[in-house]
Amino acid sequence: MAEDAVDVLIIGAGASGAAIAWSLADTRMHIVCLEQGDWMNPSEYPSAHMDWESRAAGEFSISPNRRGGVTDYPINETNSPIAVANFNAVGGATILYAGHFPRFHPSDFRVRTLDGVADDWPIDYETLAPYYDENDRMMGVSGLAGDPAYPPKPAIMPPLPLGRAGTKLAEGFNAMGWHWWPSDSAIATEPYDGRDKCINLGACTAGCAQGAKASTDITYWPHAIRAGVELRTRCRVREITVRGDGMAGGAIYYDADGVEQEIRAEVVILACNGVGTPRLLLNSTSNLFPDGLANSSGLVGRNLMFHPYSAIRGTFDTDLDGARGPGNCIWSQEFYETDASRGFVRGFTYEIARGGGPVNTAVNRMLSGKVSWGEDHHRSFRDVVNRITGMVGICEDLPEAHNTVTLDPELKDSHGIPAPRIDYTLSGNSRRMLDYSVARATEVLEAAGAIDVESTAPIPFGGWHLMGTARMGTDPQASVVNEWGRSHDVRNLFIVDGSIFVTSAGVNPTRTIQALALYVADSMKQRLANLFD
Amino acid sequence: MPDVIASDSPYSITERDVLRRVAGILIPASEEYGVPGADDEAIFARILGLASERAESIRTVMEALQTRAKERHDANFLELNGAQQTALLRDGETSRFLGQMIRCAATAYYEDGRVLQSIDLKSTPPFPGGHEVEQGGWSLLDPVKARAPFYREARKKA
Repeated sequence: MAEDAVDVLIIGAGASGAAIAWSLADTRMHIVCLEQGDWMNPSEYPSAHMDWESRAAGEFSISPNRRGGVTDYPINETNSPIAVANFNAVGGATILYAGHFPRFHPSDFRVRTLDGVADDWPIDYETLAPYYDENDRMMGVSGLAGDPAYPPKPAIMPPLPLGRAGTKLAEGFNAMGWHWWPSDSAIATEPYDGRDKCINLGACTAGCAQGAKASTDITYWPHAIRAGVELRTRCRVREITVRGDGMAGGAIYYDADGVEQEIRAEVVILACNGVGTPRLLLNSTSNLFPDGLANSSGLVGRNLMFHPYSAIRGTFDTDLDGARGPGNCIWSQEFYETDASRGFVRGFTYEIARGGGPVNTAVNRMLSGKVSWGEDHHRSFRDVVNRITGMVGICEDLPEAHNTVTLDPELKDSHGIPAPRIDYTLSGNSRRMLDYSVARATEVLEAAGAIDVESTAPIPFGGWHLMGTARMGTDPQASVVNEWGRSHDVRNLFIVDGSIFVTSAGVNPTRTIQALALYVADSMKQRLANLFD
Repeated sequence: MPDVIASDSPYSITERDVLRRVAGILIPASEEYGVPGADDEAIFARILGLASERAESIRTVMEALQTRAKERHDANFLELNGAQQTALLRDGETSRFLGQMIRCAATAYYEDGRVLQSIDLKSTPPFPGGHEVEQGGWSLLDPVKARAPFYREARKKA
């Protein structure tokens, strides 16, 4: 039996769901958020335990298929060279993200106009700038003002330390005459909004036990809940319901006991990421919407974009940081803007990955034969442990309709809900960009003094960023939501996650996802009297 | 005392002896570096715990090792001398077993506080103590600061 209708139903309590919940809370509407995961307990994060590397690779793995937890859903990704990374909890993937927090650039919103590829966004950098600023204040961003790769933007806290690894690579970039800058990071370098400052635990991507990293369970959500938003955990939504007039009616979900529940709502907001949102829309079929909700364009689930990542590592003959300190450090955007002479359009960002832990170093290098086993093991291992650093290249992925999220005909989650299937092909442009990023990074590492350089491209498990599967635009035939996140087909249905990206840019998306959520919230608040017109 | 007792283990006593012997070959104790081997009692207990999580696949590939020992030497792996055991592990036919054992042995070994101290790392979990990381020389940034902005302006048409 359905409960009384709420004003706003938000599905998903991750990066964007938290942001829009907080922003809408000042309307005093009755807002309920359903999250399929749990609240996290920081004392259970790997860095609080000796076996932190094992835990990070197991129950805190970025792969839902590897974790296989009760709050996870399986994904058929056998037809993709890049596997999906996600996390289901209050805070969503921000629990496990590195906290790299770049903004998009002005050119990222105008790729058709500037470079003749993909499509322009219906909004521009100037539209989002105030929401970037607001989000920065809520999340707490460390960095340094004055980056020549960007329009001026405020720095809220001092940057993370360079350390030995950052120093070494900065010397390499300087030797090449190339840009680098302290990374904008959603990691507090000073006490901030009730959070402690970073103490260099070095296991950021498995949850921050210190609470310095800005996951939304400790940033937006405490404020949103204090302002009256109701957050229900362990609630897995099966489908969005539809009223007789074609408007969204609410949702049917399974509670923590597996009991089917229905909630009615005047407004429904999806914040389930670029895979979870199309999955839910495609699972929400009805007589009015036989091909899935909000899908008259046929674009729900199409144009899936990851960021193909390259990883380039160098071994040095001196001790660096190893696993000490956050992975975030510096970035380079020397190759961000299009230069046709490079053989590809658009560009990429290098982000320095400071170092690795001893277990990963030992296992990977013993398996590859680069570290000996047997009598020579200890000497061999000491030649590399704490001496490896490098970078990843985050390549812009252009939208292609054949890269899709669909419903798997056989695979289902623990509640019997059809699971997503990924079909994705790496484009020629991405392949050339990856190769270029490996070649230039090798030059940097060698200039910095690396005695051995190795690379991987693409990173097969690196589908951290899920974008484009319910794109925004002004044309209902060429987009799923309008320029302020409202479905063209269902006027009380909104989407605020990475699904609505038109293009991916060559940077991590979380800061832009959250700025978009705040922008959509503001757009809604300005139109409350005629929101559905 | 190791916290894995015989009745908990999916491995027979002989299989456990093989696992322990192999762990000691992969990462032997070293007087020079002042570290135990991976066959150390506490470390091996952890190895056994990790190996128990993948017992089915490890037991299967361990059979290949024993089969090879029989074919080459007409003996059980544990009856061979050290050089023969090492040679068998280097045999491509036993590579799957070697891979599984490297994963378990190296993981358990480099989670041990004594070992971590020997490579200049903390013998406690990262939290709550954290680590010291040098700030580094920010004057390195001076040439980049001197650079003119190079992003492309791109406003939406009004």
